[in-house]
Amino acid sequence: MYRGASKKPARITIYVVLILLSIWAVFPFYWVITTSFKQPKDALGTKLVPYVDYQPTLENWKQEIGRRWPELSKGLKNSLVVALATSLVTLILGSMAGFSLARYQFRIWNNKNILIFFLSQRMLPPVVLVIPFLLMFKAMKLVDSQLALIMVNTTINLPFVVLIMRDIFKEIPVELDEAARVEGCTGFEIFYKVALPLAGSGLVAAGILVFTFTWNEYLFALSLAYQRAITIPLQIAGTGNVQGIQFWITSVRGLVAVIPPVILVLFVQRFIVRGLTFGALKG
Amino acid sequence: MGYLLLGLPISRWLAVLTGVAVIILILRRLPSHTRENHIKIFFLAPTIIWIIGMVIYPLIYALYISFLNKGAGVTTSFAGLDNYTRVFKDYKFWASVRFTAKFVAIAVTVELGLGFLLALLVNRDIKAQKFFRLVFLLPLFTPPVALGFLAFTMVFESGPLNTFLALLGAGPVAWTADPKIAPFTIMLLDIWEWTPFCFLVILAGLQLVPEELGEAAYLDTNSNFQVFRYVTFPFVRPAFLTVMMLRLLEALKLFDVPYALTYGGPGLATESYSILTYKTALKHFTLGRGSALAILFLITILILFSVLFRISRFSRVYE
Repeated sequence: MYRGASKKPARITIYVVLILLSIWAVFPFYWVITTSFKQPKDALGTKLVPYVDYQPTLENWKQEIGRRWPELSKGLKNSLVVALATSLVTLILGSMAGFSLARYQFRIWNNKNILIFFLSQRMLPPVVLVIPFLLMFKAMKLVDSQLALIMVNTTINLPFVVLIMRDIFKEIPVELDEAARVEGCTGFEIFYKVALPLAGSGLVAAGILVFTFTWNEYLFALSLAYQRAITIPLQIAGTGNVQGIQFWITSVRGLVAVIPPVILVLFVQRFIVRGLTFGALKG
Repeated sequence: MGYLLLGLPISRWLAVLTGVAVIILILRRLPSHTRENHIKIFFLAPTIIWIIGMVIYPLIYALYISFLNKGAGVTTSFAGLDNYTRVFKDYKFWASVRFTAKFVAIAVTVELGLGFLLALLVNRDIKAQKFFRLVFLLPLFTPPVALGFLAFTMVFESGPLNTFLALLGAGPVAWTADPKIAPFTIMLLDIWEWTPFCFLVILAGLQLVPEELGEAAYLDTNSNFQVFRYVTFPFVRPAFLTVMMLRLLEALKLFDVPYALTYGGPGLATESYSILTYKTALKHFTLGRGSALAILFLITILILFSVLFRISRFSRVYE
């Protein structure tokens, strides 16, 4: 029997597969959420169902959101500032470069080569940049500052934004540009009065992806932020103490860190497959 | 010092802003036809300058440091190729190369294989597509470091994974303490995180295959394999290649999860190349040797991917 592209698999198989896969994806979240409501003595076993296996408690949340809030809020504030500023800077630079590549032809270095050049930035393992960045920011007296993290994250995400914005501008009919040119718009006016507003939704989506990547970034935060500029991933890592990891506290902080990206992703989920493959695929 | 904004004194912010303002003023003074003729360069230049300053220059700097004896407690001196020869004699280097290679090979193969298989099973219009897509994207947007730490809550001795195994009659597994098993725990976490994404991308590719084409081909060849090979796969190819490249790249950079979960241990069992480089540079402060490791990493990846690009003719995806 043909099972390739034409004979569709039975509906029941599909939903069994999908549901199993969903459980696979969601169970760890269920586990972490329940752990965050457990008392220390319950967190160390396999206690699955609240009220049946164990008595849930709000104590961990009270402790983190209440008593230790000044500490946690510092990380949240830094993460927020760094992620927002990074999104803003990458969007400004990236949309200009993307527009240039989508609308104009370069001759000495043709457009495809420039694209491959940006793509090749993605191949650069971040750890290669750790040492030079540390020394550079030390020389600029910027170690442990939000600005250093913003600059680093901008560097990592910029090529991604250029590629994705080029793809978005390509889809805007070029006739609109020509009409605006006839009306007497300069090149720059065409960019921000015609193209940019039309690319609005793509711009928001790219911004949200950059925000999420920056929010989750760990390696450079670990090497460039110690105290003042500490971000939320560093604070998750800081939940271990002499007695070992405190699962229940880790769970609370982990959830606090997961919530913003997940909410943002809700808004752009249609765009994500396309975004993460740099526009090579229309999802 | 005065007041700091994002860690930089206000006076230096003013200096930077003045510089930018002067450049913009100069550009505005240019005759309009010059400006219009070169506008594409003005659009692209800020990004290119940024990348030269923040990528190209640091890379050259790292290359330079890799020839130096530099670190905590040593006076900086020229070392020639010493850092490189020492790296090759270091058992830690080979251990990390072995682990990273094993990780990339197994994790990426399983993710792509499983993703492809599941996509073939599900290739059909699905109800509640939005819901499932969201569920599958959840793992992807968890901070990897949270994943590493929260994995502890799943894999400790009496945790849910061992309880589940006990139900199946299998003994408890030391997920992170046994150096033979710890690498597979890291792979399992990576597979958990990325299989749903591979599945989504490949499914998007599969849905491009026109139904009639598959049917017609099946009538002609009477072989499912041939239909797959000559009809289905060519359609899925760009999706598959893209997701493969992406996964290979990300897997090679592996850092967050093992750093958080096992800190490279037990012993060197889960010390990926990135972790080794990081520890060499920032824990032992041997910056020269750390840079040598970094440069070797870069060269390997460049060679690996230019070969892969050539073989797969990946750049066609972008035409």
